[in-house]
Amino acid sequence: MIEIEDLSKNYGKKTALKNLTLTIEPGQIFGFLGHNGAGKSTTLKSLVSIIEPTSGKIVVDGLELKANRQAIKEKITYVPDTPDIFLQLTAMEYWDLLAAAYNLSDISERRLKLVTLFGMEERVDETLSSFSHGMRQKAILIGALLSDPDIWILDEPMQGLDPQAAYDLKQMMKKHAQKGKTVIFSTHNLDTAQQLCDQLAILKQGELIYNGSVQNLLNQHENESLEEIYLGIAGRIDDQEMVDDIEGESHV
Amino acid sequence: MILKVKAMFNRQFKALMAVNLRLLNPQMTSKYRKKGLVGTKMTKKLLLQFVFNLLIFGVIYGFSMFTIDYSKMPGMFTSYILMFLILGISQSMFGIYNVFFAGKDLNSYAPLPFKQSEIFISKIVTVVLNIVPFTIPLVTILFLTGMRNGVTLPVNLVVSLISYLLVLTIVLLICAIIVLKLTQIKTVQKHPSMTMNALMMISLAAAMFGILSTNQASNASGDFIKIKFLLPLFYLSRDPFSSGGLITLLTLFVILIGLIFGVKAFVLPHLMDQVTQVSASFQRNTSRRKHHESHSIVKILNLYNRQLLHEPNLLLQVLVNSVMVPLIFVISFGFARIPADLPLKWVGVFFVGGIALAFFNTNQGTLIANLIALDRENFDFVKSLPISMKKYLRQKFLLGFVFQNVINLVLVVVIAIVTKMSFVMLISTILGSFLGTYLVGQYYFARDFRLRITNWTSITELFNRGGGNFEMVGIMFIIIIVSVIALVAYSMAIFKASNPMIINSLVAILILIVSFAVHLHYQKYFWKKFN
Repeated sequence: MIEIEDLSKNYGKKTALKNLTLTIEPGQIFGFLGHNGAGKSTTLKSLVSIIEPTSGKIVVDGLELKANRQAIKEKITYVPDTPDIFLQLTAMEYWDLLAAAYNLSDISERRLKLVTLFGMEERVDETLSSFSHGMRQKAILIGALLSDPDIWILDEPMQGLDPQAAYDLKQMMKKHAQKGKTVIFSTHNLDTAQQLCDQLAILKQGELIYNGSVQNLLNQHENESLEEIYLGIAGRIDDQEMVDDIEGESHV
Repeated sequence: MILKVKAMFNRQFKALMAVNLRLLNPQMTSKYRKKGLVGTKMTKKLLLQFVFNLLIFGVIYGFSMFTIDYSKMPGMFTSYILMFLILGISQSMFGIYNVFFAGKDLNSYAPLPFKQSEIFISKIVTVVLNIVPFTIPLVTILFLTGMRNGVTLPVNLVVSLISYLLVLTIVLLICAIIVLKLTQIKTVQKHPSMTMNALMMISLAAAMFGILSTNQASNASGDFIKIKFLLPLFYLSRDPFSSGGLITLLTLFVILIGLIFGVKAFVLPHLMDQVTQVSASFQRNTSRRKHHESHSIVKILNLYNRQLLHEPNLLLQVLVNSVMVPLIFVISFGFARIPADLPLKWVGVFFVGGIALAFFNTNQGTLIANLIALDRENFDFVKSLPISMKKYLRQKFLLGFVFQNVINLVLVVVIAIVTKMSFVMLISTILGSFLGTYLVGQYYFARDFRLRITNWTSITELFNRGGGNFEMVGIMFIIIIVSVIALVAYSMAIFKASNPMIINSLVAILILIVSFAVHLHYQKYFWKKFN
């Protein structure tokens, strides 16, 4: 179980996250939704120790993150929001690095399965810098899935994936949760959120504005699609005038 | 219509310059941003800061060179001009290559309706801003020569500045034509970094040879041997209105106009095509490596850290900053011949000399000062992994430390051979340089972490973190002055003392205390963070 209590992050005068409190139970797929800059990545980066929160605490399976970073990191695998990491290494070298970091002994069988699943057999000895965005994302995902820790934290994991790879990843996320483990991810795609999430947190300008199940949210707003509900609470829906205003003008 | 086009050109040029100035001074920009400066105000402030730095440097150089009467020593005049020209040429070559090809921002201009000439000029101006701190001593030498020969102040100032700008622009345009013409060759386009690295290596070696041989050669009057092709510049600054001076000025103008036409005719029409092609080669220039399964995190991280050094152009730029720049400054301002076969009592002085050398050679453009930033986004990702950040950083520090020591070792050995230094003194200097590299390395490594940026677009931008080249040259200058004072004082004390052992012991205790204090400081305020 992950407990986030009163988590805040400030960058100078700017508040990226304000008093976030929520609990994520095992066996759940937990989704973070929000506009750009809403605080999704800040929350996920705080969970994986990339960002040091200004205040508040994170407790994972009864252990406070600040005092037990190493032990908690071993329970978590993470996919960053951009796949532009370790571009100097080949895919195989990158996976070796992760295997060594997580102290995995025999990865060849699982690696082969993942490589086949994501269709990367021919390119494993190429440097990540030579890959397209989607291929990099696949390599990063394979790296994350090589170890099979209890908690997956995936920051916009579907970005750049082809439909087949996205489908496969969704299936894996569901299976992982069915095993009683936890999947936390952020997305901008409302369909994906609706398909996958058991629980949802919607953030707006660093503040939590909804925390509950997708079904509950839909029940609260009958006859509205998730897009309409989301834009109604996190953004603007009546912006036809603004669009007309912009599209009706010409600057050239 | 013409006015409209001109206004547009001005606006676009200003916009490009504003971007370049911000890229060149990332730290300064963010500092001003925090103070609420934006837009034109920010650009003006950045420019003003640059001009202010320039004035300060001009004055400092002026004071340090004031005692030398260049007007009576054409040999020394031409040698010093050559040294700073070599520095200017090497920095220009690197700058042009970095800004036009190895940088990542120029491609983003391709789809925008900028003119090639605007992009070219704005990028060349960026290179100029970058090399001015290294070449400003040229103005000082030109000015001092005229002043000593009685040229009136306003005339002297104008002539010095015009001569400097003419020479600098000529050098830049020649370098630009060489680099940009070279990248039109198919082989170069296929292997851009390899070819450019080879070319730079040759020019670096030639420059080093030139500097060392210039410094060695001097005639009976104490002046250096004259370098003939630079003598016209001497006549121009000594007596601007003499026929020799006027002809030189005219010749410089003619060369400049010729080069401008050359650039317009041969470089500009193909500029963006070339940039796109060479950048694409960089993208394609990725390797396949045979996989050797490894379970050791140390080995994998070592492999990774070594791959980081494959950043195009990085190693050579590091070599220039670690060897050539310090050497030129040491030779110009503080170099003294080292007597061979000294008795053992001098061993401490050589040890301190070794420390000083390490301090000269290690700067913000050396590897140990950039290894963390080379990680880009990887550094944050590593934080999420269950490995010790302290071990991860220690491994990086060790690589930078070893790399810097190898450079220092080569340099010390070269100096030892040239000066016929005894073996004991050589060992003492090497040990001093090890200690110095460790101490100054701690500072630069922690600085790298403090000023870490992940989105740098070129090596130039990376090395310009903090106070840019002004900071680099300024620190080098301060180190030279402090080191010369310390070495002279120490040598005098050893020379005069009846029992030099006491002096050496006192210095040894002082070095031990200071080293330990520095070590403890960085353990407490830097390394402890990663426990």
